[in-house]
Amino acid sequence: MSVHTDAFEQAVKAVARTHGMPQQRLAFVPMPVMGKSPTELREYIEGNDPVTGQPVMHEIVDALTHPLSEEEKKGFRFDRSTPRFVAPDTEENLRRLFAKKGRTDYLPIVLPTEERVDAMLSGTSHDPQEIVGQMRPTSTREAWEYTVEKVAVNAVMAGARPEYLPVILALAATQISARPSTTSSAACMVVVNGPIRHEIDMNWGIGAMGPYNHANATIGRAYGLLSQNLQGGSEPALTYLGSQGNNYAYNSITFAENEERSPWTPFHVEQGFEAEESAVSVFGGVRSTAYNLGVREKHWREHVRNMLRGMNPYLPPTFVLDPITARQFVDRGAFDTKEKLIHWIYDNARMPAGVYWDHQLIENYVYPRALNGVEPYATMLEAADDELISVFPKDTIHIVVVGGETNGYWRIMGCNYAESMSVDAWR
Amino acid sequence: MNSAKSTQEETRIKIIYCVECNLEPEAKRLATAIKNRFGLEAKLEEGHDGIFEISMDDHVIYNNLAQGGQLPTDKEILQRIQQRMEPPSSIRREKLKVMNPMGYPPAVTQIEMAPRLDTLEGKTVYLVDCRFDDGDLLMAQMQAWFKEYMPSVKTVLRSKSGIYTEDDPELFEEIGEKGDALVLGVGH
Repeated sequence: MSVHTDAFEQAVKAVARTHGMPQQRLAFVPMPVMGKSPTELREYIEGNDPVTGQPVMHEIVDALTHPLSEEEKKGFRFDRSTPRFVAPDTEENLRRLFAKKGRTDYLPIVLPTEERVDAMLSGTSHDPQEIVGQMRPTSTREAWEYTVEKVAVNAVMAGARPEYLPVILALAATQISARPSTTSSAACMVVVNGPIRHEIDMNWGIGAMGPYNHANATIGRAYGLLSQNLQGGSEPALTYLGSQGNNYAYNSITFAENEERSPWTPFHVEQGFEAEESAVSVFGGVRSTAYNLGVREKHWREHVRNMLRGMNPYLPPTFVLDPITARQFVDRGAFDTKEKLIHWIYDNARMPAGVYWDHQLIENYVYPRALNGVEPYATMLEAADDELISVFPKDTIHIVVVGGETNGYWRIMGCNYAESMSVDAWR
Repeated sequence: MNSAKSTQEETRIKIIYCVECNLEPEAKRLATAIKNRFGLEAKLEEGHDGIFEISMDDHVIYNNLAQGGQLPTDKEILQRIQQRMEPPSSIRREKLKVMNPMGYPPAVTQIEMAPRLDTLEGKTVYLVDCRFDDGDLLMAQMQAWFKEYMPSVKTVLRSKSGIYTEDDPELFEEIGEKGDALVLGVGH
């Protein structure tokens, strides 16, 4: 049997049901466990289950010793299906239905009539019934499958145009959800590279990160809608647990890289694509942002170190630089390649080992891996508490150039680069 | 006020009021309410025989004689004007066939539940921390409870290997060999 916090009641029961154990025996304690003293936790144990009102330990002992009921022993298997169409209704009622069922982001949608979806499908040569992939809100949830047609339906809803569909299909093909269920309210960031940027009039200049371009806006929105619908939903308390939510999720910060004005190699080329190929790259875990203006001659090192120190050490930095700032970094530090700047960041993003390992996210997600010998964390674990260690592995640090050079503002996004996918493969 | 400008050129409101019944003040008050809400100038027209009628684009939206002489409230008239400003009802009532945006869920197959024990007396119960947000501290308190209230139960407190989403087959093999029961926590 298992013990959970009461905030997760709906999610836990849904996971048990869809994993084939609808009768799984559960007990709940209050939320949160984190940060509570031993005395407070003992009160949880000796207190009542906030869901059932029964004593927690009585439930646990009972769960381990009470014989299985006939219902619990009964075998079953059932298929679930998704009808191709929604029951016909008026426009007004369908809009209400889609919103009520959580199929939208609560902004107006374009209703996906068959005619509109057919028009959207003209944007790709792929068969509408071709399987694109599977997606899930988190690794412990069931994966739902989807076709080219299903992706097109969501692209229509987002207001995208057929010529954007190859980019949207490439995003769907990453199988990375832009609606992860994590309590941390993570969003995604999407960077498009290559000739497709020109072909569909994406924005990499003034206002590229939003909301000032139709392609940027609707491709990002389509990614969010397809994620929540194709993975089986993104419903608060059930399939979405983000405590605060995240405004970045509205369009997954979707923009094109300013390759023409960047002093460095385009991002997709760093990931192994040819410059004349088109690709889309997904960054996950986007929550934190630091920003600054310019790269000052006298104290730029201290300024950047301080910005890095303010980021959560679990999420590595991606520098999102206006071309003005990119060139300033070249001038200030002789960083004529991204690699050189990345090395500097790696070498300067440091903190005492004891402070690093005490971070809750590090304890949850890095410490167990260090114990299992995963490098470089295992070596980092050997450092004395007061020893300064580099907290971001070098291969997790990235640089993207975007902006219209109206000034040298720049940002650090705390996020994990996940994957780059060919857009050309989905034309 | 929001849609006033776009509709002002096309929308015509007329109020016919009975002069003998002294309904002119009612008509003027209603015209002011319409002006304030929609920015529309209502045309006032004298009538007789107790009439108080409001029409919009030559369509009568209220006639008090058809309502037993009852005068309308301003709110009632404003609502009717608002309703007529919305898209034609023929479009709104048309049923659309739209496609389902949801993906395809996998089939669900039952996982057999483990048989239960007759008693925990003398048994070994593994208390496994799944490594999420200080769950080990709660499981330690659970172990303390067993020691105090069910001392014959042998408890083994363990943290699983890897992060909470990862499997730990070695531990679960050990529990299968050496344990009688398992409590896993703290799930979120």
